[in-house]
Amino acid sequence: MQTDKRFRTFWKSDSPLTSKRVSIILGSREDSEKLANAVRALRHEGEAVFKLSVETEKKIALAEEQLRSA
Amino acid sequence: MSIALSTLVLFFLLVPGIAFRRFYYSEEFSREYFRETLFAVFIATILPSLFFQFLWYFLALFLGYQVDLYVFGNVVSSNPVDTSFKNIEENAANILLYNLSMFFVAGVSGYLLKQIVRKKNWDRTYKFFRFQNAWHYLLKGEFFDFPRAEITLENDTVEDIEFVFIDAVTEINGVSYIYDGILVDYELSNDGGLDTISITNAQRRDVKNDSKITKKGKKGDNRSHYYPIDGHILVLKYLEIKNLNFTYYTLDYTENGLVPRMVK
Repeated sequence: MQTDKRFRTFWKSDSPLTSKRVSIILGSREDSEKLANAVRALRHEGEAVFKLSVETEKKIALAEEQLRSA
Repeated sequence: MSIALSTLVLFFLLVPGIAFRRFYYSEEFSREYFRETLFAVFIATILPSLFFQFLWYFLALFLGYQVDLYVFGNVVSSNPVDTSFKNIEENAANILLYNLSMFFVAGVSGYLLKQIVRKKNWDRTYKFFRFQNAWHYLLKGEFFDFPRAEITLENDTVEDIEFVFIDAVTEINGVSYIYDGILVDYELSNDGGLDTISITNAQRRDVKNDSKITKKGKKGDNRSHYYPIDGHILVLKYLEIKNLNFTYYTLDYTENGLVPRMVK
């Protein structure tokens, strides 16, 4: 997936703190909480799967599409 | 020689170096521009200044123009003659174009050199090119690529890091708390140190409520001891932080959804 990476371009060398898709996830309060809780669960249980809301998945798919067509 | 005039001329000679440095230390490394000692700034400014002054002098010669150093020397001497000022007045447009083009190219060169250093990862690979912003390399996980780094990423790359999870120990009224959350921002102080870090989805617990370790060495679940903190971001002042723990994660797709995974 294109959005997995924290992209740097020649003109913008300051890489963001998060990847594009995590940035989108953090933009949704509900999904952001799921991500943080998944990390905490991972630390205690060894594995943590979480599902994103439909809106966030659509936004990520759109961002991937835009990256591909760029 | 007039002290005011000579100072002005010296400053004018150094402007290309100042422009070069200002644009080389830009964006995430802009604090470095202001942080160095006066001596270091002077040296780091003189070298690029000399380079651009020499380059432009010979470039002008190549294009058929003569930079009259006698006029320049006479203007800053104790007894400047009128003809020198008259010469400057007559060639004011050319002198202005000569200098403005040099300042512009110096600034652009500084910016482009920095972009090349970052794009080619020379600052991670060679200490000579490394910027002084140590927190930048730490918070973004770029230190994994340092040759002296004891921890290296074997399967993933620094670019695979999708987010950083922070655990910070702070003390409030004599009680130590651990705050955790996803790092979303940081600010540097004027001396180049860390000023604040901002985390989202923060939780905290008393340090005393550590997980119990079972006989098999497994960590017990202590999530019930965490207190969720409502709000968009929690700003932690670095001066009040005792320890910081950074964990770098990526996300994997599975059939059931996304799974966070520590980069390795």
